[in-house]
Amino acid sequence: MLSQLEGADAAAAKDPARVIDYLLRFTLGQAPEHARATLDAFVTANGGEVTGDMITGLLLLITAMPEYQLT
Amino acid sequence: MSAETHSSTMTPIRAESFGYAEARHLLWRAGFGGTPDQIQTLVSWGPERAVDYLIDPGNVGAEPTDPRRFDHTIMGPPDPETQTRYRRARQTGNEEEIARLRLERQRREAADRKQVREMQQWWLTRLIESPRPLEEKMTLFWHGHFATSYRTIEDSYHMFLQNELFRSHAVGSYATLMYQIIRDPAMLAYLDNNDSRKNKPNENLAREIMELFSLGVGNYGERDIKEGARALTGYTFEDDKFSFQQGNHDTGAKTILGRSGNMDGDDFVAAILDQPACSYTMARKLYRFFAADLPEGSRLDPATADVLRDLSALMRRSKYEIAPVLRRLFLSEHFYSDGVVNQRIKSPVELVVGAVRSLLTPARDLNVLLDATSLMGQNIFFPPSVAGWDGERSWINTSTMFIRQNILAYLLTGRTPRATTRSPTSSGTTRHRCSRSSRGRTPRRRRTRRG
Repeated sequence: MLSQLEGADAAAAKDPARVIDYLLRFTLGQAPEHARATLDAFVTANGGEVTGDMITGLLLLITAMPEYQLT
Repeated sequence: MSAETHSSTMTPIRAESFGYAEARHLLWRAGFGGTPDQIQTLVSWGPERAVDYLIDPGNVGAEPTDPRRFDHTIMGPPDPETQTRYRRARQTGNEEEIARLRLERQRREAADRKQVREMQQWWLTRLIESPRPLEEKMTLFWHGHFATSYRTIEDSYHMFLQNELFRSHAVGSYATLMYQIIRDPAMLAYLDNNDSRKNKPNENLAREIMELFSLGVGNYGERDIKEGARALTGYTFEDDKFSFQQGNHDTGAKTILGRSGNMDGDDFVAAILDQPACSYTMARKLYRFFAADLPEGSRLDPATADVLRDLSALMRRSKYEIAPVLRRLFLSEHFYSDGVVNQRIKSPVELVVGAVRSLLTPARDLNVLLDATSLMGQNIFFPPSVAGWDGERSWINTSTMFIRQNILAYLLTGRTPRATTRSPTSSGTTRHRCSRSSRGRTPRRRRTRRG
């Protein structure tokens, strides 16, 4: 999932803020501001480290957003 | 989700304006989404190459389906020996033999219900894995347009044949599909045309062809329906093949949509295709499926009205070829405008297939996915009526939102959502009935037997 981000900048794939940007852009296109705040809070509350479980958690939150129902 | 905010035009999108967001949008609409790598590939190709590839991917994944993949004999007409046994049993009042034959029939019906479930799994797999996503998306479009339900015809192989028909003309000719649909065993059974005879024409097929499949309400009259039904008399099928029964065909003079003569089914279709309302209705339907919803009765803004006129005119010029129409739409600035992007609600199939394809989750259990799409209102091979699925806002209610979120969580984590777990008592074929009845349109009665 993060291969493109890693390919462009290996450090970016470890940076929670960059990972959130990347996932939102990919899954929702234009992300609403509240989405970013929700994901930031989730990352902070879960240790702040980008792991496989963290990515899954972020995707669960994103796909639960009303915006994900749109195309 | 309103058509009120469209502002841009059919001017082709410039290559420099085609970035990540545009490629992502194109992949979702002309298919079922893409991975980040696929999006980036389309960006690097630019809009023309990207659209051309989606419309015509060449031989990639073009291997035809083996027609023997499914058993065509399950619901076929009984063999001569069985027919003789049944006739004798009735003549002699042999109730035991009649019951035995009835049981055999029930076993075949059960086997056929199992087969249609296998067909659902087969198609869902294709939707998920096909390297030709637009072909599958158009197959889904035609399935909703020329809607036919297994629930009524109860012949899985006929549903398979129809599905293959839609796939083979996915971005091909709508005109050809119209000529083929009046010869399609599934459609002929669904709308009772196999019972239509010159002294007693059945109007179902003629009516739905004009109202739902081509012209739309207000563009034909009751007389056109009656005369169209006469033109279609004798159009039936034997086993899995179309059959024209000359003896049942009304050869008298007819007048349909201003044309007169001894018209048959092909003449009826030709008269329809000649109407400007036909190309407009189809342009509008394609626009609703690929671009943005146009709620019935809503006033079109000038830009959208222009787009529909443009697409309709192109459809007529291209003699109802679909590929040029889609190409023009997908390459237009309008297609990437704020009134179009992120303005459609994903259908259940788009939601599930798109999640697997773009998030690269495992497909996990196809039965769970099929049950979920059914509970969300889209049971493939079982459209709710001849009008197909209403789509858009009707996909969303308090019940379906739970299923939508649960199935995504299931795909991401593998945890089975309780709401879509198959009941131990459920049969192979889901019997869930969609609560949305599209104007209560169901065929007037069941007519399922072949031969």
